[in-house]
Amino acid sequence: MNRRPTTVPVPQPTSNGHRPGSIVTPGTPPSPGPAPVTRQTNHPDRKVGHTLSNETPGPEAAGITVDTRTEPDGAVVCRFAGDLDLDSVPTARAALEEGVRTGPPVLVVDLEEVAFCDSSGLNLLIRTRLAAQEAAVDLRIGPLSAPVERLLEITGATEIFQLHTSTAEALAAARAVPEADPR
Amino acid sequence: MTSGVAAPFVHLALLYRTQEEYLREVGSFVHRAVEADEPVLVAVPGPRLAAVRESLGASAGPTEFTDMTVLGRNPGRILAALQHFADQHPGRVARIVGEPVWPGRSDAEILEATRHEALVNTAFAGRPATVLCPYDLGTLGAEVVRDVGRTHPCVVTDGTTAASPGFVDPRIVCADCETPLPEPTDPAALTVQYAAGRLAAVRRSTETWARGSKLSDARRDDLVLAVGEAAANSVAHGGGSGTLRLWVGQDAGVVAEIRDRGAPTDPLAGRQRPTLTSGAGGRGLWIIHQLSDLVELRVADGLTLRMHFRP
Repeated sequence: MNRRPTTVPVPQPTSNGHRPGSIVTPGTPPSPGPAPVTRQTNHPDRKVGHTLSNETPGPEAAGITVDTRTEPDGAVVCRFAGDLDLDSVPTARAALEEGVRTGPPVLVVDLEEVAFCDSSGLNLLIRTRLAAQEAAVDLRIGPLSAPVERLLEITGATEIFQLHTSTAEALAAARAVPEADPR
Repeated sequence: MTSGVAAPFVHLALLYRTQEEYLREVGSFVHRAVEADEPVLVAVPGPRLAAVRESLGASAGPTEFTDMTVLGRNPGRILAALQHFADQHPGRVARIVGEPVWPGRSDAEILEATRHEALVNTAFAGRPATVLCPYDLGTLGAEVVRDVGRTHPCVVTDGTTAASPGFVDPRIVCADCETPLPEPTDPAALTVQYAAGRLAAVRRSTETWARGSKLSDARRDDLVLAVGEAAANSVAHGGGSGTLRLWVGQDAGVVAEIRDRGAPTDPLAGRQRPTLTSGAGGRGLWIIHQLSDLVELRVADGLTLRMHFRP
């Protein structure tokens, strides 16, 4: 498993971390794990996330962190933590656009540690779905935190995404889909 | 009880005095729809709903029933629900009974219900549908009944349907609904100014403040989401910044008010279920309507948006 750190540090304390059904966002970036290995060379700068959330630092900034990893079979998992809103969505968008652009067979978006998500976050997921369809990338979403699930239910968006209760389940479901004939 | 008008959309008010009359007229409306194999939705307040169901019995067929005090708690979300029902039956004539006002509705709610009734004409114009709206003459004030005549092209009284002489363009009704909002009697418990980059701070302030209110955990989360959407709209469409005020309103409910420099012009904004095939946005106000128990939006020297949450 190649781990490509694209993490933006989240200043302490994170907002809404104590909300029921959500998980407290870590205040420090996740461990980068093994040395990063990039599959492509045209994007050497992985720090795509240094956008709005870092331009307005301060004890109350929340922002989103993105941790992207590549499975041995090429599947990409983007794991988000923090608040997904109009301020932080550029960070998330950059990560997901990158995830689609690299053309993996499967892109899993893990939102389990997203403590807040507004309609900008939902718009991003819908745009990612459209981009993934065009690029023939199998987009899988899950697991979801309670706030994300609430938003998707209110808007009826649960119907348009392939949702999963764990990344393992998402990956297994994607692998069970017969691959197109490569010829 | 036909309007005699060839227009595909018919919007009727039923002014009733007794439960017997109510059940007879609503029952006959449902029976004709069921016999014609047309989809029918009955959205009326709980006690009436039970009586209608009991009265119809098996003759209701595939009729859908829903409690308007839940669906239409916030009058601003009724329209999307009615349209959604019609959308589910493309190419067919949707028949809907919708009773948006009941005893106990506040004046502010009745005003928004009146706005909703006016916008039914706008949103359903040209659609093959009939919406019958019962109003209880015994409990509603003369002003409410007068507004019913302004928002419904046809009125049914004592079993007779007639054109409403008071009916006016929905835009006039909506303009009349732009009444100034009363200042809270208690000083605002919290005021927060914000701009881009401060949305998380606004939400955190809201959440912290609301912990001292009577809202349940789930409703507090809804409040925070609604405030977050409204504040994000200020940043994206309302001049880039805004002011949030929070206070305790009637019956220990919470009122959240957003003011910014926005000036939305579409009266149907937030009242139509947004499509999921585009990521272009425009969902914020709709989400706010789904979460709130009442939404008051005024445009006068900028935008004022009040969102009410009952405990």
